[in-house]
Amino acid sequence: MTTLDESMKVLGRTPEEHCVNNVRLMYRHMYVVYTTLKEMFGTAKAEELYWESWLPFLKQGIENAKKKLGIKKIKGFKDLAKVAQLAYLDFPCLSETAELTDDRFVQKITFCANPIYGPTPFDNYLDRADYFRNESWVTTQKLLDLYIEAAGMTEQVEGRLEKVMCLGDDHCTFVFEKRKK
Amino acid sequence: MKRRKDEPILKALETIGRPPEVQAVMSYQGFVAADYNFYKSAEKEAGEANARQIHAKGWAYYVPMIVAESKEAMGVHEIKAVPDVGRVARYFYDSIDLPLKPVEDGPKRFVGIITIDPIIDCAKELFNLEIGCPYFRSLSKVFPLFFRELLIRIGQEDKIRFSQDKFIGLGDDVTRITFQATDKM
Repeated sequence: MTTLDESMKVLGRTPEEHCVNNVRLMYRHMYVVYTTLKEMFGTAKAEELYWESWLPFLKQGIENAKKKLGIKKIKGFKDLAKVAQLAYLDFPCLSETAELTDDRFVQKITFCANPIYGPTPFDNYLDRADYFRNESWVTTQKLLDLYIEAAGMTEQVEGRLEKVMCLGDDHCTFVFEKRKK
Repeated sequence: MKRRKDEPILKALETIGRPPEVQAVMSYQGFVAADYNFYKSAEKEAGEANARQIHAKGWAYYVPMIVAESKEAMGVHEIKAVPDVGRVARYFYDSIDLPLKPVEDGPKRFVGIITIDPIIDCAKELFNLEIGCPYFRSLSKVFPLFFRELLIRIGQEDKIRFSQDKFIGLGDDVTRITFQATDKM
């Protein structure tokens, strides 16, 4: 038994209660980390440090997904769709493929735990909004670039966010498409 | 209060067929990784001594939330007495999966011990850390500052003193904390 299991037992929690507590704990802490880094080092540096700190885990997530799917090298959007969809589950984020052609791949994120279990109103709205701006337009954009890089498609493909649910959209939309020549 | 089965995360886990106990571990590892990386980022930018202060400053963000949530959980409007502060401490440590066991719970003095510390164990496993490493030294300073801030927040900083004389991450058998009423109480 790990100390985390032991802690659940001592605290008298069910696995469901333990899960909800820990999901909340992780996302609250990510908010606290970003907000403190921003206060100490400014927005640009905080964005950089925050991204750098998660990068090894995100890379590992992509490798784990490839291994699980038996994909040695990502070839084309079909492989990329499968790898990204599986890697998102680490957070966990649920996604659907909304469009998949030879030139374009669109993913719709239908569930993300971050805005549901993340910061609660114990701080001010602007800090929360800035945290989600960084989570989406900065960090997720870099994550899409990371998927493209992992697929060795940086020269041919670009990725972008079109909608983000943590800033008010009903879901997130990620678009991967061939660069226009 | 929201029923457990209505929790969106549990519905999402059902969809993907992942047991809640597995997600509990994954999210806890994410929490520990976030905290460790936070300390390392601060250390890289500002050096070890300043990183400890930044690390503690981050954790102090939780003070208003913990005060508000524990008041609601305890059904009280004010937190003034030593036993109440002890209950707030239990609420806080419970929220980070560190069960705090009271060993003395009187009107003037509360002593609690933590015998299992998943933060330390998880960080050791994830990052190959050793007891007494800079991150654990920093963590040992985080909670004293947290409780000092908490006592200021509830206006009891002159009446109740906090101390932590043992910490698992520094090699002690337990982490031990004390709230002691001063002669101003």
